[in-house]
Amino acid sequence: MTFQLGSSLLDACVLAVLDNGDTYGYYLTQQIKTVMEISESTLYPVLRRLQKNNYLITYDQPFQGRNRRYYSITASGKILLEDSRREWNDYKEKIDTILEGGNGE
Amino acid sequence: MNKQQYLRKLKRLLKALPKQERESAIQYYEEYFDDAGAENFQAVANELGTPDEVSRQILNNYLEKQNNAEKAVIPKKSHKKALIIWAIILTLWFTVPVALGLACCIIGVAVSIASVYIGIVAAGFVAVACGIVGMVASIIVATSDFSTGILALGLSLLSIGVGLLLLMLGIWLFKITLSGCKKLYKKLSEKHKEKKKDLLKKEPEIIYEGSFEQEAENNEKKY
Repeated sequence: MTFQLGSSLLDACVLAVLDNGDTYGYYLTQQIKTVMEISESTLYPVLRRLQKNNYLITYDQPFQGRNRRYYSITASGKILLEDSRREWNDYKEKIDTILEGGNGE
Repeated sequence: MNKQQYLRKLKRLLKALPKQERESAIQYYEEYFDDAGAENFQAVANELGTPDEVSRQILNNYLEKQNNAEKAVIPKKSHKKALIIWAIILTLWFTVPVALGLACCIIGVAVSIASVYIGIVAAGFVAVACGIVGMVASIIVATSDFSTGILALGLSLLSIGVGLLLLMLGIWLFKITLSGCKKLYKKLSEKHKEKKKDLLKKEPEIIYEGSFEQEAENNEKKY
């Protein structure tokens, strides 16, 4: 990818995936990897940070004789996601204005 | 390296973290390997990076979080400042009267010592003066009664001698006291300087090394 990815954009993408339903670390990583070039080890710190800030919670569910940790978006996580979507749209439009040759006027 | 070895190494590298943080990270990666499937371990491990790299990423993130938490705690520090100011006021409240008393004592002692010295010097002066007057008087007496005059002359000379001795004693005592005071002052000021030096020597401890910050930058680029 040519463009650098900020951590707040990555946060928003993780929350967007979780907004479609609870899921677990491996699946989440594969989902994000379909759209972004991230190292697989990038996501754990992100998830931990989001959890610490109460944007998501975790719960364990038994799966094939072991526990699987699921991540679930919280109410404040949804608010953050909405804010991020709005800001991303503003940002996208501004960049488009320049890149597409001033069609924003 | 198999999964167990990988996780054990990671666990060791995360020793610096609180137990809960460490366990959470280990659980995440154990699950991750399980979900990827045992047959894919090597591929996943290559994707993740070495335990070294993974642990650094976790530690960096934890440190960042810690720093942010510390920033949020700043208002508490001003609270501490107020406490310190109050402590200073209270100690002054109690120590100033004592200090005043002590100062009065010291001044009193100094004045009494000085007066003793002045007394000695004055007595010397008087004795010398009396001796000189006595000499003149004894010479006059000697013209009428020679032996009484000589006796008076001898006594006058004795008086002058004792007076001179007293004067010397007074000056000597004064000199000794002055030099003693100087030495005491020097010692006290040196001690003060040493204390200041000790304080300067104590530099704030470095919380973590610069390499962590560099790592954080590298990680940013990876995103």
